[in-house]
Amino acid sequence: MSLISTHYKLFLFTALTFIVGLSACDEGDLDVASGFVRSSTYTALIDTVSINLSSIKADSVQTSGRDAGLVGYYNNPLIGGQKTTCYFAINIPESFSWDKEKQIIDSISLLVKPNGYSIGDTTSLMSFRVHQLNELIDKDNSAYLYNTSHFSYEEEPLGRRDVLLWPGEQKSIAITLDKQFASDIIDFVLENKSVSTYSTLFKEEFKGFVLETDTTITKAMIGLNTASDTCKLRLYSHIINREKENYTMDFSLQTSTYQFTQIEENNTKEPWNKLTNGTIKLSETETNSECLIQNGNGYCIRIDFPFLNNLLEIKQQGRIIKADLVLRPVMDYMKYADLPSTIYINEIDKINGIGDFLYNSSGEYLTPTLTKDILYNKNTYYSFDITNYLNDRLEETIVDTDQGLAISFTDDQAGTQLDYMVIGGQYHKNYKSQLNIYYYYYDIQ
Amino acid sequence: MIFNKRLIFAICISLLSISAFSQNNTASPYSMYGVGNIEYKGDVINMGMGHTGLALPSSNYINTISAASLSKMDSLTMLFNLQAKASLSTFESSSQKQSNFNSNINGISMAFKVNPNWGMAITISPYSNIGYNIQSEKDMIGTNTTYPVTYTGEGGIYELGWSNGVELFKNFSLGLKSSLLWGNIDIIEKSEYPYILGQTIYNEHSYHVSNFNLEYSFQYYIPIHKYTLSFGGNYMSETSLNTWFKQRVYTDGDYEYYSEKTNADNLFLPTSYGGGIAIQKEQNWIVAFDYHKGDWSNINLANTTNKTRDTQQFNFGIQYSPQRNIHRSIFKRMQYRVGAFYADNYLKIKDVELSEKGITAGFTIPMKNQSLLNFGYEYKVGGSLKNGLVKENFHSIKLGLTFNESWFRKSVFQ
Repeated sequence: MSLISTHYKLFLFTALTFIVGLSACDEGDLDVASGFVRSSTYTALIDTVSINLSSIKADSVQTSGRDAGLVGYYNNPLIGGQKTTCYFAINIPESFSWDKEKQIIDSISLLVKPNGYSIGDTTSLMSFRVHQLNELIDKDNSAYLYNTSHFSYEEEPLGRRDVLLWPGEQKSIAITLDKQFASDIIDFVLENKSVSTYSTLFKEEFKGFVLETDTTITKAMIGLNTASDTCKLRLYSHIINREKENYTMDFSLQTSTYQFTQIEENNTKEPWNKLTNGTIKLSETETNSECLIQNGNGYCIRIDFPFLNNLLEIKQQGRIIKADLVLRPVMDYMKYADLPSTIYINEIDKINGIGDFLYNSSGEYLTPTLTKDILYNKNTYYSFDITNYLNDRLEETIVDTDQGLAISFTDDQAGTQLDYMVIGGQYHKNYKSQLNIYYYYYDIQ
Repeated sequence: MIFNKRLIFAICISLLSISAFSQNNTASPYSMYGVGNIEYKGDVINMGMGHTGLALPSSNYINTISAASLSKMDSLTMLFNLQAKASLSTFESSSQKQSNFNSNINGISMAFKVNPNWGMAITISPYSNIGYNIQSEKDMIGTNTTYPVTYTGEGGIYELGWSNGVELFKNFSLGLKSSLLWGNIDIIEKSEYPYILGQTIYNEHSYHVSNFNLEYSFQYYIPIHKYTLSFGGNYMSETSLNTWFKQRVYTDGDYEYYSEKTNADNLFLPTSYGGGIAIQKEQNWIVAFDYHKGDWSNINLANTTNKTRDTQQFNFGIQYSPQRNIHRSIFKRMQYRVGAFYADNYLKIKDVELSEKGITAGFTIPMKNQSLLNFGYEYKVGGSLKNGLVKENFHSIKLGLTFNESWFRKSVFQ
């Protein structure tokens, strides 16, 4: 009985344990479940859970401070005509040199610069009109101006120009104004420049402009670049000494805070004119199951789950493993190329107060998957995975069916674009939105 | 000093073995019911003889089939046994085939003599095993698609036994084996949703069982000239296993949908008994026959709706030892065995009464100090193709090492 012998045995045992003890493998499949397994779990797709879509419209959207404006007229096929008017105030001219004796005014123009955005029929003429404001642009203690803001202006235009614009055109457009207006500015400045209340007096005298279009001619709307120094008044003059010397003088516009876009809906179709305040829900049942997203003018879609309580029964012995909110754009209104790559989903309360975004498991904004059916034009849809949202809702002590979800474009579009998308509601004949719930049921012993 | 080394050695082996026990020891879809597939007891030597052992003595090995046999051990030795099993199994349904390979530590035991008439053994061995892996699919209701489902069974019941065999009268011994039975039966249903979720849901049912049970045995030896005729028997009363049930429903990301632990209806092991007869001619021949009966039909197993039925088991084996003389060649000193057996399955599945039958063979290579290296082979067929069930066959090899340590014999020279 030596020590070596004990070690040898220990080695033998260990080797045996490891070689034999720790291996197992399978090859081939055996599906005998139907004969063998007693399993009461199942997974089912429930696509009959009611969702109610409705259109809502924000009381107002901020249109100032966007570095962009809109001007033109667009006849939205769903809701009717939408007219946009751009407001500008004039900066007070500070350094100013003018030879009162010799300098002669040639003309004065308003220069605006398109930013390339357009909606509507840009192959037709755009008939621009510039009016002088007769009311001071007043923010009324608010930080911004809105699509609903309005200030009165002279009925008679100061200048007009009919232009045919190429799509995507970004060259400045000059609209010649009444020459008298130029003389008025020059005279006023020369006369009052040394007065201590010069600034106040100037603002009172020259309140600003509006740029609008003649809605009887214009069938399109364009975006304007309103970043500083892109829009201006330009005065052309000359002095005749031995030769004629031409002068150009720019009056800058107050673009950052006092420039805004007013959006009017003049001939709104029934029943869209019912959306007179932000708390109103225009149910899909009133709009042929067609609901509107147009962040530019504050439209978004609200989705309610009126029978969410019924899903509580599922919770007892099952789990929603996947809830897909499938939203189908009504392709009668748009082209595939115009489908936005993403749309946003937020929580929304009883009075249409839009709350937080929904997030995915990585903490990013929940974005949908866009599936396009270009071939058959039947099955184009956005699908949001709202599994976590629904499971969380079902964890609430009392499930509040007044809470819903809002679908919108990005807020940056407010006042700068009037792109829109029509989504079919749950009763839409061809483009039906629905909630697909994949539900896993498990047995409990 | 040497004793300490041996102690460390024993502890190491025990630890290794216990860790290895946790592996799957079987792969049979039939193991999903009741307490799983019940293992044949006994040493590799018993296996070689068709799992007989009720009337066989524990002379130089530990016959764990009969506690009474321990009284026949050599009084100065300490027997140590470790055995491993490897199985290649094939399962066949009417259209599919699956092959599995499993291997594991199959038992560890030690035995020694307390006094000349009293032998004692401590054993750890699997009582039953659960191990299967069935790939299937289910219809997703409301769609025309399916999703993959895998049913997996794991675990088993282990037995820690304390056996005592006492020779009450000359050639008549009584045995008592007190066992702690414990283990887990884990049944996992895995549902996968590759297209809609990208994650997986597990529905796991775990039964945890434990209790003590007692098994009584006897052996009686009648020497007749060159022969020894022996009889043996055993009896185990119905045992209720304290059963806890835990269900968990969770996802791959460890998100728990449901988790509940409850005291479940107990699982039961039936009253079982058996008798054996063996005849031994000098040191050369042993022929043994065992019969076992299990009163399973009284047992209602809470975790299955399948009906139970009484079981019978027949075992037959022969051992031949050409010579014991150490000067002869190794082949002459080896022992050779063959056997056969038949056993009923305790469950009727889909109204089919199942049974298994097999043949065995084995040999022993004697080593120094009366230690033994034992090999056993078994070919077993079971199951049925009736009613959509599965036919199965197994090729199993067991390897056993029995060390005969003379712990109680003092060496003159150290």
